[in-house]
Amino acid sequence: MEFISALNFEKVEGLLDTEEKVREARETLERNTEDTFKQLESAKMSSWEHAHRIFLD
Amino acid sequence: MAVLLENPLYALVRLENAGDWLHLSALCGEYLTGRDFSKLQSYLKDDTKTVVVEKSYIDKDYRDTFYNFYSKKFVSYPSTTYRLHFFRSVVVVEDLFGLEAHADNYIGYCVIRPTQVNSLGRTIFDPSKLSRLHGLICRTVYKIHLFGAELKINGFPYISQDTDVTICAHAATWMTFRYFSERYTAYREIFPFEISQLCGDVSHGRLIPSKGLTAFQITEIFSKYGFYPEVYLRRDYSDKFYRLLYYYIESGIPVVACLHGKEHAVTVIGHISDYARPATNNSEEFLTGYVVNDDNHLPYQLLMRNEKPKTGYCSEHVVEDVDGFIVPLYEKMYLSAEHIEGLADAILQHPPFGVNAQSRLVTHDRLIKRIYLTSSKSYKAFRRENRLPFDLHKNYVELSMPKFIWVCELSVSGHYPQKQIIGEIIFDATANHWDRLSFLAIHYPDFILFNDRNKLGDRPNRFTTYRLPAKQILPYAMYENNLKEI
Repeated sequence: MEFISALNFEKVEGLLDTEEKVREARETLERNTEDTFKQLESAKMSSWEHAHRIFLD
Repeated sequence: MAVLLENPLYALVRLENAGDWLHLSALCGEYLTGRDFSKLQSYLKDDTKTVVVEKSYIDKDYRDTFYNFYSKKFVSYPSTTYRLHFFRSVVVVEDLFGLEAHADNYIGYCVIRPTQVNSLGRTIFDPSKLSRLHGLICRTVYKIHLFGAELKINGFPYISQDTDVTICAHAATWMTFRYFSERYTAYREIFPFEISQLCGDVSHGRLIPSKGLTAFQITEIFSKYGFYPEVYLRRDYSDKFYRLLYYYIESGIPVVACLHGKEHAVTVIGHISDYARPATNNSEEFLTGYVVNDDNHLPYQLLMRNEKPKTGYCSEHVVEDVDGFIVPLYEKMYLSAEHIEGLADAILQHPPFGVNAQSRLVTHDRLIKRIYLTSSKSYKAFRRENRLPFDLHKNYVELSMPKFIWVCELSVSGHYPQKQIIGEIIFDATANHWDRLSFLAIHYPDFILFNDRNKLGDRPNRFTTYRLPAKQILPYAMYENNLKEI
Protein backbone atom coordinates (compact mmCIF):
# COMPACT_ATOMS: atom_id res chain seq x y z
CA MET A 1 0.00 0.00 0.00
CA GLU A 2 1.43 3.38 -0.99
CA PHE A 3 1.07 6.57 1.01
CA ILE A 4 1.99 10.16 0.14
CA SER A 5 2.97 10.59 3.76
CA ALA A 6 5.80 8.09 3.88
CA LEU A 7 5.97 5.51 6.67
CA ASN A 8 9.66 5.50 7.54
CA PHE A 9 9.46 2.67 10.00
CA GLU A 10 10.95 -0.77 10.25
CA LYS A 11 8.86 -3.34 8.37
CA VAL A 12 7.75 -6.35 10.38
CA GLU A 13 9.70 -9.26 8.95
CA GLY A 14 8.00 -12.58 8.39
CA LEU A 15 4.46 -11.39 9.12
CA LEU A 16 1.85 -12.18 6.46
CA ASP A 17 4.53 -12.15 3.77
CA THR A 18 3.45 -15.26 1.87
CA GLU A 19 0.13 -16.40 0.46
CA GLU A 20 0.28 -19.39 2.78
CA LYS A 21 0.65 -17.21 5.88
CA VAL A 22 -2.24 -14.98 4.81
CA ARG A 23 -4.43 -18.00 4.20
CA GLU A 24 -3.52 -19.42 7.62
CA ALA A 25 -4.24 -16.09 9.28
CA ARG A 26 -7.63 -15.83 7.59
CA GLU A 27 -8.52 -19.41 8.47
CA THR A 28 -7.56 -18.84 12.10
CA LEU A 29 -9.89 -15.85 12.21
CA GLU A 30 -12.62 -17.93 10.60
CA ARG A 31 -12.16 -20.77 13.10
CA ASN A 32 -12.08 -18.41 16.09
CA THR A 33 -15.28 -16.64 15.09
CA GLU A 34 -17.19 -19.50 13.53
CA ASP A 35 -19.16 -20.58 16.60
CA THR A 36 -19.93 -17.00 17.63
CA PHE A 37 -21.10 -16.07 14.14
CA LYS A 38 -23.30 -19.16 13.91
CA GLN A 39 -24.92 -18.26 17.22
CA LEU A 40 -25.43 -14.71 15.94
CA GLU A 41 -27.12 -16.01 12.79
CA SER A 42 -29.47 -18.04 14.89
CA ALA A 43 -30.14 -15.07 17.21
CA LYS A 44 -30.87 -12.86 14.22
CA MET A 45 -33.40 -15.33 12.80
CA SER A 46 -35.05 -15.77 16.17
CA SER A 47 -35.32 -12.01 16.73
CA TRP A 48 -36.97 -11.51 13.34
CA GLU A 49 -39.42 -14.28 14.15
CA HIS A 50 -40.31 -12.97 17.60
CA ALA A 51 -40.46 -9.32 16.59
CA HIS A 52 -44.04 -10.05 15.49
CA ARG A 53 -44.97 -10.82 19.10
CA ILE A 54 -43.49 -7.75 20.75
CA PHE A 55 -46.50 -5.49 21.08
CA LEU A 56 -45.96 -1.83 21.97
CA ASP A 57 -48.76 0.54 22.74
CA MET B 1 -48.01 41.83 35.96
CA ALA B 2 -47.15 38.46 34.44
CA VAL B 3 -48.84 38.97 31.06
CA LEU B 4 -46.76 41.70 29.42
CA LEU B 5 -48.60 41.51 26.11
CA GLU B 6 -51.68 39.80 24.79
CA ASN B 7 -53.36 40.20 21.42
CA PRO B 8 -55.15 37.77 19.09
CA LEU B 9 -51.86 36.48 17.68
CA TYR B 10 -49.25 36.72 20.42
CA ALA B 11 -48.72 36.84 24.14
CA LEU B 12 -45.66 37.57 26.22
CA VAL B 13 -45.61 36.22 29.75
CA ARG B 14 -43.05 36.75 32.49
CA LEU B 15 -42.69 33.57 34.53
CA GLU B 16 -41.58 34.36 38.06
CA ASN B 17 -43.87 32.26 40.22
CA ALA B 18 -46.59 29.62 40.15
CA GLY B 19 -49.23 32.27 39.59
CA ASP B 20 -47.49 33.40 36.39
CA TRP B 21 -47.53 29.81 35.14
CA LEU B 22 -51.27 29.70 35.77
CA HIS B 23 -51.61 32.81 33.58
CA LEU B 24 -49.80 30.92 30.85
CA SER B 25 -52.11 27.96 31.27
CA ALA B 26 -55.14 30.23 31.02
CA LEU B 27 -53.77 31.81 27.85
CA CYS B 28 -53.49 28.41 26.20
CA GLY B 29 -57.10 27.67 27.12
CA GLU B 30 -58.44 24.25 26.26
CA TYR B 31 -55.45 23.47 24.00
CA LEU B 32 -53.12 22.66 26.90
CA THR B 33 -54.33 19.81 29.11
CA GLY B 34 -53.84 20.10 32.87
CA ARG B 35 -51.53 17.10 32.88
CA ASP B 36 -49.29 18.50 30.17
CA PHE B 37 -49.27 21.93 31.80
CA SER B 38 -48.00 20.39 35.04
CA LYS B 39 -45.29 18.54 33.13
CA LEU B 40 -44.12 21.70 31.38
CA GLN B 41 -44.15 23.77 34.55
CA SER B 42 -42.24 21.21 36.56
CA TYR B 43 -39.69 20.71 33.74
CA LEU B 44 -39.04 24.36 32.91
CA LYS B 45 -39.81 26.44 35.98
CA ASP B 46 -36.24 26.58 37.32
CA ASP B 47 -34.76 27.81 34.05
CA THR B 48 -37.45 29.87 32.29
CA LYS B 49 -38.01 33.57 32.83
CA THR B 50 -40.18 34.46 29.85
CA VAL B 51 -42.43 32.71 27.35
CA VAL B 52 -43.55 34.07 23.99
CA VAL B 53 -46.83 32.52 22.83
CA GLU B 54 -47.77 32.22 19.16
CA LYS B 55 -51.52 31.72 19.29
CA SER B 56 -52.28 30.72 15.73
CA TYR B 57 -49.26 28.69 14.73
CA ILE B 58 -49.57 26.41 11.72
CA ASP B 59 -47.69 23.31 12.78
CA LYS B 60 -46.80 21.01 9.89
CA ASP B 61 -47.02 17.84 11.99
CA TYR B 62 -50.41 18.66 13.49
CA ARG B 63 -51.72 19.82 10.09
CA ASP B 64 -50.81 16.41 8.69
CA THR B 65 -52.92 14.61 11.30
CA PHE B 66 -55.61 17.32 11.16
CA TYR B 67 -56.22 16.96 7.42
CA ASN B 68 -56.02 13.18 7.46
CA PHE B 69 -57.88 12.45 10.67
CA TYR B 70 -59.15 15.20 13.00
CA SER B 71 -60.99 17.13 10.27
CA LYS B 72 -63.05 13.98 9.65
CA LYS B 73 -64.41 13.86 13.20
CA PHE B 74 -67.80 15.18 14.29
CA VAL B 75 -66.19 17.59 16.75
CA SER B 76 -64.65 20.68 15.16
CA TYR B 77 -60.95 20.64 15.92
CA PRO B 78 -59.04 23.86 15.22
CA SER B 79 -56.53 23.61 12.40
CA THR B 80 -53.93 25.73 14.17
CA THR B 81 -51.87 25.25 17.33
CA TYR B 82 -50.22 27.31 20.04
CA ARG B 83 -46.46 27.49 20.04
CA LEU B 84 -44.66 28.40 23.24
CA HIS B 85 -41.10 29.80 23.07
CA PHE B 86 -39.18 29.64 26.33
CA PHE B 87 -36.36 32.02 27.28
CA ARG B 88 -33.91 31.97 30.18
CA SER B 89 -33.78 35.77 30.04
CA VAL B 90 -36.32 38.47 30.74
CA VAL B 91 -37.84 39.48 27.41
CA VAL B 92 -39.87 42.69 27.37
CA VAL B 93 -42.30 43.85 24.68
CA GLU B 94 -39.71 46.11 23.02
CA ASP B 95 -37.35 43.11 22.68
CA LEU B 96 -39.77 41.20 20.43
CA PHE B 97 -38.41 43.01 17.39
CA GLY B 98 -34.82 42.21 18.30
CA LEU B 99 -34.98 38.68 19.65
CA GLU B 100 -31.47 37.96 18.32
CA ALA B 101 -30.27 39.65 21.51
CA HIS B 102 -31.83 36.77 23.46
CA ALA B 103 -30.57 34.01 21.16
CA ASP B 104 -28.15 32.65 23.78
CA ASN B 105 -31.00 32.36 26.26
CA TYR B 106 -33.48 30.70 23.93
CA ILE B 107 -34.34 27.30 25.42
CA GLY B 108 -36.59 26.16 22.59
CA TYR B 109 -40.24 25.70 21.77
CA CYS B 110 -43.18 23.42 22.37
CA VAL B 111 -46.20 23.13 20.09
CA ILE B 112 -49.52 22.73 21.91
CA ARG B 113 -52.03 20.77 19.82
CA PRO B 114 -55.79 20.87 20.35
CA THR B 115 -55.82 17.07 20.44
CA GLN B 116 -57.22 16.92 23.97
CA VAL B 117 -55.81 13.67 25.28
CA ASN B 118 -52.12 14.51 24.82
CA SER B 119 -51.49 18.10 23.82
CA LEU B 120 -47.68 18.27 23.49
CA GLY B 121 -46.76 18.40 19.83
CA ARG B 122 -43.41 18.97 18.17
CA THR B 123 -41.00 20.14 20.85
CA ILE B 124 -37.34 20.99 20.61
CA PHE B 125 -35.41 22.13 23.66
CA ASP B 126 -31.69 22.79 23.94
CA PRO B 127 -30.72 20.49 26.82
CA SER B 128 -27.61 22.56 27.59
CA LYS B 129 -29.91 25.36 28.68
CA LEU B 130 -31.82 23.25 31.17
CA SER B 131 -30.07 22.76 34.48
CA ARG B 132 -31.36 19.29 35.37
CA LEU B 133 -30.13 17.47 32.28
CA HIS B 134 -26.89 15.52 31.78
CA GLY B 135 -25.29 13.07 29.38
CA LEU B 136 -23.91 12.69 25.87
CA ILE B 137 -26.54 12.75 23.12
CA CYS B 138 -27.19 12.89 19.39
CA ARG B 139 -28.14 16.47 18.65
CA THR B 140 -28.42 18.78 15.71
CA VAL B 141 -29.31 22.40 15.05
CA TYR B 142 -32.91 23.43 14.33
CA LYS B 143 -33.57 26.94 13.04
CA ILE B 144 -36.78 28.70 13.91
CA HIS B 145 -38.15 32.11 13.03
CA LEU B 146 -39.94 34.36 15.45
CA PHE B 147 -40.75 38.01 14.73
CA GLY B 148 -38.37 37.75 11.78
CA ALA B 149 -35.44 36.72 13.96
CA GLU B 150 -33.68 33.44 13.29
CA LEU B 151 -33.10 31.49 16.50
CA LYS B 152 -31.28 28.18 16.78
CA ILE B 153 -31.84 25.18 19.00
CA ASN B 154 -29.23 22.46 19.31
CA GLY B 155 -31.22 19.48 20.49
CA PHE B 156 -33.17 16.35 19.65
CA PRO B 157 -36.84 16.45 18.57
CA TYR B 158 -39.66 15.27 20.78
CA ILE B 159 -43.38 14.66 20.27
CA SER B 160 -46.04 12.98 22.38
CA GLN B 161 -48.49 10.44 20.99
CA ASP B 162 -51.92 11.83 20.19
CA THR B 163 -53.47 8.38 20.95
CA ASP B 164 -55.55 8.59 17.76
CA VAL B 165 -53.20 8.51 14.79
CA THR B 166 -50.04 7.91 16.76
CA ILE B 167 -49.11 5.83 19.81
CA CYS B 168 -45.76 5.63 21.62
CA ALA B 169 -44.02 3.61 18.91
CA HIS B 170 -45.06 6.09 16.20
CA ALA B 171 -43.82 8.94 18.38
CA ALA B 172 -40.52 7.11 18.90
CA THR B 173 -40.03 6.63 15.15
CA TRP B 174 -41.08 10.24 14.40
CA MET B 175 -38.37 11.51 16.78
CA THR B 176 -35.79 9.38 15.00
CA PHE B 177 -36.95 10.45 11.53
CA ARG B 178 -37.05 14.14 12.40
CA TYR B 179 -33.51 14.00 13.79
CA PHE B 180 -32.17 12.38 10.61
CA SER B 181 -34.11 14.62 8.21
CA GLU B 182 -32.89 17.75 9.96
CA ARG B 183 -29.30 16.58 10.17
CA TYR B 184 -28.76 14.85 6.83
CA THR B 185 -30.03 15.95 3.43
CA ALA B 186 -30.31 12.32 2.33
CA TYR B 187 -33.42 11.90 4.53
CA ARG B 188 -36.72 13.56 3.74
CA GLU B 189 -39.05 15.07 6.31
CA ILE B 190 -41.96 12.79 7.18
CA PHE B 191 -45.13 13.51 9.18
CA PRO B 192 -47.11 11.53 11.77
CA PHE B 193 -50.03 10.33 9.64
CA GLU B 194 -47.66 9.32 6.87
CA ILE B 195 -45.60 7.31 9.38
CA SER B 196 -48.75 5.55 10.59
CA GLN B 197 -49.45 4.38 7.03
CA LEU B 198 -45.97 2.95 6.37
CA CYS B 199 -46.78 -0.43 7.90
CA GLY B 200 -49.92 -0.90 5.79
CA ASP B 201 -48.48 -3.99 4.12
CA VAL B 202 -48.03 -5.76 7.47
CA SER B 203 -51.06 -4.44 9.31
CA HIS B 204 -53.48 -6.41 11.45
CA GLY B 205 -56.57 -4.50 10.40
CA ARG B 206 -57.09 -0.75 10.25
CA LEU B 207 -54.16 1.55 10.96
CA ILE B 208 -56.13 4.36 12.62
CA PRO B 209 -57.26 4.81 15.29
CA SER B 210 -54.00 3.14 16.15
CA LYS B 211 -54.05 0.18 18.53
CA GLY B 212 -50.30 -0.15 18.81
CA LEU B 213 -47.43 -1.58 16.80
CA THR B 214 -45.29 -4.68 16.98
CA ALA B 215 -41.50 -4.49 16.89
CA PHE B 216 -41.71 -6.02 13.43
CA GLN B 217 -44.01 -3.24 12.24
CA ILE B 218 -41.50 -0.67 13.50
CA THR B 219 -38.81 -2.30 11.37
CA GLU B 220 -41.23 -2.16 8.44
CA ILE B 221 -41.81 1.57 9.03
CA PHE B 222 -38.05 2.15 9.06
CA SER B 223 -37.60 0.06 5.91
CA LYS B 224 -40.36 1.82 4.00
CA TYR B 225 -38.83 5.16 4.91
CA GLY B 226 -35.47 4.14 3.48
CA PHE B 227 -33.47 2.74 6.38
CA TYR B 228 -32.02 -0.77 6.57
CA PRO B 229 -33.06 -1.65 10.11
CA GLU B 230 -31.84 -4.40 12.42
CA VAL B 231 -33.90 -5.77 15.30
CA TYR B 232 -32.35 -7.16 18.49
CA LEU B 233 -34.24 -8.95 21.24
CA ARG B 234 -32.70 -9.66 24.64
CA ARG B 235 -34.06 -13.20 24.67
CA ASP B 236 -31.88 -14.03 21.64
CA TYR B 237 -28.66 -12.12 22.36
CA SER B 238 -28.42 -12.81 26.13
CA ASP B 239 -25.24 -11.24 27.58
CA LYS B 240 -24.38 -9.40 24.33
CA PHE B 241 -27.70 -7.56 24.17
CA TYR B 242 -26.89 -4.52 26.31
CA ARG B 243 -23.41 -4.14 24.83
CA LEU B 244 -24.90 -4.10 21.32
CA LEU B 245 -27.38 -1.39 22.35
CA TYR B 246 -24.50 0.63 23.77
CA TYR B 247 -22.39 0.27 20.59
CA TYR B 248 -25.18 1.72 18.46
CA ILE B 249 -25.78 4.58 20.88
CA GLU B 250 -22.03 5.25 21.01
CA SER B 251 -22.25 5.37 17.21
CA GLY B 252 -24.63 8.34 17.42
CA ILE B 253 -27.54 6.35 15.98
CA PRO B 254 -30.79 6.87 17.88
CA VAL B 255 -32.65 3.59 18.33
CA VAL B 256 -36.22 2.68 19.21
CA ALA B 257 -36.10 0.65 22.42
CA CYS B 258 -38.89 -1.78 23.30
CA LEU B 259 -39.98 -2.11 26.91
CA HIS B 260 -42.12 -5.09 26.08
CA GLY B 261 -42.95 -5.85 29.70
CA LYS B 262 -44.46 -2.36 29.89
CA GLU B 263 -45.81 -2.47 26.30
CA HIS B 264 -43.96 0.76 25.71
CA ALA B 265 -41.38 2.18 23.28
CA VAL B 266 -38.90 5.03 23.77
CA THR B 267 -36.19 6.59 21.63
CA VAL B 268 -32.68 6.14 23.05
CA ILE B 269 -30.58 9.15 22.04
CA GLY B 270 -27.48 9.09 24.21
CA HIS B 271 -25.85 7.79 27.35
CA ILE B 272 -24.42 8.82 30.66
CA SER B 273 -21.26 7.14 31.89
CA ASP B 274 -19.11 7.28 35.00
CA TYR B 275 -15.47 6.92 34.03
CA ALA B 276 -14.40 6.65 37.66
CA ARG B 277 -16.00 3.20 37.76
CA PRO B 278 -13.67 0.25 37.34
CA ALA B 279 -13.89 -1.39 33.92
CA THR B 280 -12.30 -4.65 32.94
CA ASN B 281 -12.40 -4.79 29.16
CA ASN B 282 -15.30 -2.91 27.59
CA SER B 283 -16.34 0.74 27.77
CA GLU B 284 -19.96 -0.36 28.27
CA GLU B 285 -18.98 -1.16 31.85
CA PHE B 286 -18.68 2.61 32.51
CA LEU B 287 -22.30 3.12 31.50
CA THR B 288 -24.68 4.27 34.24
CA GLY B 289 -27.69 4.89 32.03
CA TYR B 290 -29.15 6.12 28.74
CA VAL B 291 -30.71 9.40 27.72
CA VAL B 292 -34.15 8.71 26.27
CA ASN B 293 -37.09 10.56 24.78
CA ASP B 294 -40.17 8.92 26.26
CA ASP B 295 -43.32 10.42 24.80
CA ASN B 296 -45.11 10.09 28.17
CA HIS B 297 -42.66 12.59 29.67
CA LEU B 298 -40.61 15.52 28.46
CA PRO B 299 -37.35 14.95 26.56
CA TYR B 300 -33.88 13.94 27.75
CA GLN B 301 -34.89 11.63 30.58
CA LEU B 302 -32.26 9.42 32.16
CA LEU B 303 -33.00 5.72 31.98
CA MET B 304 -30.67 4.48 34.70
CA ARG B 305 -29.23 1.04 35.30
CA ASN B 306 -31.12 -0.82 37.97
CA GLU B 307 -28.53 -0.44 40.70
CA LYS B 308 -27.83 3.24 40.03
CA PRO B 309 -29.34 6.05 42.11
CA LYS B 310 -31.95 8.11 40.28
CA THR B 311 -30.77 11.70 40.42
CA GLY B 312 -31.77 14.39 37.92
CA TYR B 313 -34.60 14.00 35.41
CA CYS B 314 -35.02 10.22 35.58
CA SER B 315 -37.42 7.76 34.04
CA GLU B 316 -39.52 5.49 36.24
CA HIS B 317 -38.18 2.68 34.03
CA VAL B 318 -34.66 1.23 34.14
CA VAL B 319 -32.21 -0.01 31.51
CA GLU B 320 -33.08 -3.60 32.43
CA ASP B 321 -36.68 -2.95 31.27
CA VAL B 322 -35.38 -2.67 27.70
CA ASP B 323 -35.88 -6.08 26.13
CA GLY B 324 -35.53 -5.23 22.46
CA PHE B 325 -34.43 -2.46 20.15
CA ILE B 326 -34.57 -1.53 16.49
CA VAL B 327 -31.68 0.29 14.84
CA PRO B 328 -32.32 2.41 11.75
CA LEU B 329 -29.17 1.76 9.74
CA TYR B 330 -28.07 3.53 6.58
CA GLU B 331 -27.95 1.45 3.42
CA LYS B 332 -24.17 1.05 3.34
CA MET B 333 -23.80 -0.09 6.95
CA TYR B 334 -23.74 -3.79 6.05
CA LEU B 335 -21.66 -5.02 8.98
CA SER B 336 -23.54 -5.10 12.26
CA ALA B 337 -22.21 -4.42 15.76
CA GLU B 338 -22.33 -8.05 16.89
CA HIS B 339 -19.93 -9.12 14.14
CA ILE B 340 -17.48 -6.36 14.98
CA GLU B 341 -17.38 -7.39 18.63
CA GLY B 342 -16.61 -11.01 17.74
CA LEU B 343 -14.11 -10.17 15.02
CA ALA B 344 -12.26 -7.54 17.08
CA ASP B 345 -11.79 -10.05 19.89
CA ALA B 346 -10.48 -12.65 17.46
CA ILE B 347 -8.05 -10.15 15.90
CA LEU B 348 -6.73 -8.97 19.26
CA GLN B 349 -6.03 -12.59 20.25
CA HIS B 350 -4.77 -13.69 16.84
CA PRO B 351 -1.47 -15.63 16.96
CA PRO B 352 0.47 -13.62 14.33
CA PHE B 353 -1.10 -10.14 14.58
CA GLY B 354 -2.86 -10.10 17.94
CA VAL B 355 -1.79 -7.58 20.53
CA ASN B 356 0.24 -10.05 22.60
CA ALA B 357 2.12 -11.15 19.48
CA GLN B 358 2.93 -7.71 18.10
CA SER B 359 3.10 -5.27 21.01
CA ARG B 360 5.81 -5.11 23.64
CA LEU B 361 4.02 -2.28 25.45
CA VAL B 362 0.55 -3.60 26.17
CA THR B 363 -1.10 -6.97 26.69
CA HIS B 364 -4.57 -8.11 25.73
CA ASP B 365 -5.78 -8.49 29.30
CA ARG B 366 -5.18 -4.77 29.97
CA LEU B 367 -7.25 -3.49 27.04
CA ILE B 368 -10.53 -1.63 27.34
CA LYS B 369 -12.40 -1.73 24.03
CA ARG B 370 -14.82 0.89 22.76
CA ILE B 371 -16.76 -0.01 19.60
CA TYR B 372 -18.66 2.44 17.42
CA LEU B 373 -19.67 3.18 13.85
CA THR B 374 -18.96 6.50 12.21
CA SER B 375 -18.57 8.11 8.83
CA SER B 376 -15.07 8.08 7.42
CA LYS B 377 -15.54 11.78 6.63
CA SER B 378 -16.14 12.60 10.26
CA TYR B 379 -13.39 10.27 11.46
CA LYS B 380 -10.80 11.78 9.15
CA ALA B 381 -11.84 15.31 10.10
CA PHE B 382 -11.45 14.45 13.78
CA ARG B 383 -8.08 12.81 13.24
CA ARG B 384 -6.79 15.85 11.35
CA GLU B 385 -7.45 17.89 14.47
CA ASN B 386 -6.51 15.23 17.01
CA ARG B 387 -3.29 13.70 15.86
CA LEU B 388 -1.83 10.25 16.33
CA PRO B 389 1.75 9.53 17.41
CA PHE B 390 4.30 9.31 14.58
CA ASP B 391 2.00 11.34 12.31
CA LEU B 392 -0.09 8.25 11.60
CA HIS B 393 -3.16 10.50 11.32
CA LYS B 394 -1.77 11.53 7.91
CA ASN B 395 -1.97 7.93 6.77
CA TYR B 396 -5.50 7.60 8.13
CA VAL B 397 -6.57 10.79 6.36
CA GLU B 398 -5.05 9.47 3.17
CA LEU B 399 -6.30 5.91 3.54
CA SER B 400 -9.05 4.93 1.13
CA MET B 401 -12.12 4.23 3.28
CA PRO B 402 -15.80 3.43 2.65
CA LYS B 403 -18.49 5.94 3.60
CA PHE B 404 -18.89 4.26 7.02
CA ILE B 405 -16.35 2.50 9.20
CA TRP B 406 -16.56 0.53 12.40
CA VAL B 407 -13.86 1.37 14.92
CA CYS B 408 -12.75 -0.66 17.93
CA GLU B 409 -10.72 1.79 19.99
CA LEU B 410 -8.21 0.40 22.46
CA SER B 411 -7.38 1.98 25.77
CA VAL B 412 -6.16 1.00 29.23
CA SER B 413 -7.53 1.86 32.65
CA GLY B 414 -5.19 4.79 33.33
CA HIS B 415 -6.00 6.56 30.08
CA TYR B 416 -9.69 5.88 29.42
CA PRO B 417 -11.03 8.29 32.09
CA GLN B 418 -8.92 11.02 30.43
CA LYS B 419 -10.61 10.10 27.13
CA GLN B 420 -7.34 8.86 25.68
CA ILE B 421 -6.70 5.77 23.62
CA ILE B 422 -3.62 3.83 22.61
CA GLY B 423 -4.70 2.11 19.39
CA GLU B 424 -7.62 1.03 17.25
CA ILE B 425 -8.86 -1.44 14.67
CA ILE B 426 -10.74 0.12 11.74
CA PHE B 427 -13.24 -2.01 9.79
CA ASP B 428 -14.89 -1.58 6.42
CA ALA B 429 -18.62 -1.29 7.32
CA THR B 430 -19.59 -2.35 3.81
CA ALA B 431 -17.88 -5.74 4.18
CA ASN B 432 -19.67 -9.08 4.35
CA HIS B 433 -19.47 -10.46 7.89
CA TRP B 434 -18.15 -13.79 6.58
CA ASP B 435 -15.14 -11.90 5.19
CA ARG B 436 -12.79 -11.99 8.21
CA LEU B 437 -10.22 -9.73 6.53
CA SER B 438 -12.65 -6.81 6.65
CA PHE B 439 -10.31 -4.60 8.67
CA LEU B 440 -8.58 -1.62 7.10
CA ALA B 441 -6.01 -1.01 9.81
CA ILE B 442 -4.82 -2.51 13.08
CA HIS B 443 -2.89 -0.15 15.32
CA TYR B 444 -1.20 -0.89 18.66
CA PRO B 445 1.18 1.55 20.38
CA ASP B 446 4.21 0.01 18.64
CA PHE B 447 2.67 -1.69 15.60
CA ILE B 448 0.54 -0.80 12.60
CA LEU B 449 -0.94 -2.92 9.85
CA PHE B 450 -2.78 -1.64 6.78
CA ASN B 451 -4.95 -3.95 4.71
CA ASP B 452 -5.65 -2.88 1.13
CA ARG B 453 -9.31 -3.84 0.77
CA ASN B 454 -9.14 -3.45 -2.99
CA LYS B 455 -6.80 -6.43 -3.21
CA LEU B 456 -8.90 -9.56 -3.07
CA GLY B 457 -7.77 -13.03 -2.04
CA ASP B 458 -4.83 -14.12 0.06
CA ARG B 459 -1.97 -12.44 -1.78
CA PRO B 460 0.43 -10.93 0.79
CA ASN B 461 0.74 -7.61 -1.06
CA ARG B 462 -2.58 -6.56 0.49
CA PHE B 463 -0.84 -6.05 3.86
CA THR B 464 1.66 -3.42 4.95
CA THR B 465 3.04 -3.86 8.46
CA TYR B 466 5.42 -1.66 10.47
CA ARG B 467 7.04 -1.73 13.87
CA LEU B 468 6.55 1.75 15.42
CA PRO B 469 9.50 3.12 17.40
CA ALA B 470 7.52 3.70 20.62
CA LYS B 471 9.48 3.19 23.84
CA GLN B 472 6.36 3.72 25.92
CA ILE B 473 2.62 4.01 25.37
CA LEU B 474 1.82 7.33 23.66
CA PRO B 475 -1.88 8.03 24.26
CA TYR B 476 -3.97 10.27 22.01
CA ALA B 477 -7.51 11.62 21.86
CA MET B 478 -10.53 9.33 21.86
CA TYR B 479 -12.91 9.97 18.97
CA GLU B 480 -15.82 12.12 20.15
CA ASN B 481 -17.79 13.28 17.12
CA ASN B 482 -20.76 10.91 17.40
CA LEU B 483 -22.32 12.25 20.58
CA LYS B 484 -22.23 15.72 22.07
CA GLU B 485 -22.14 16.68 25.74
CA ILE B 486 -25.27 18.29 27.12
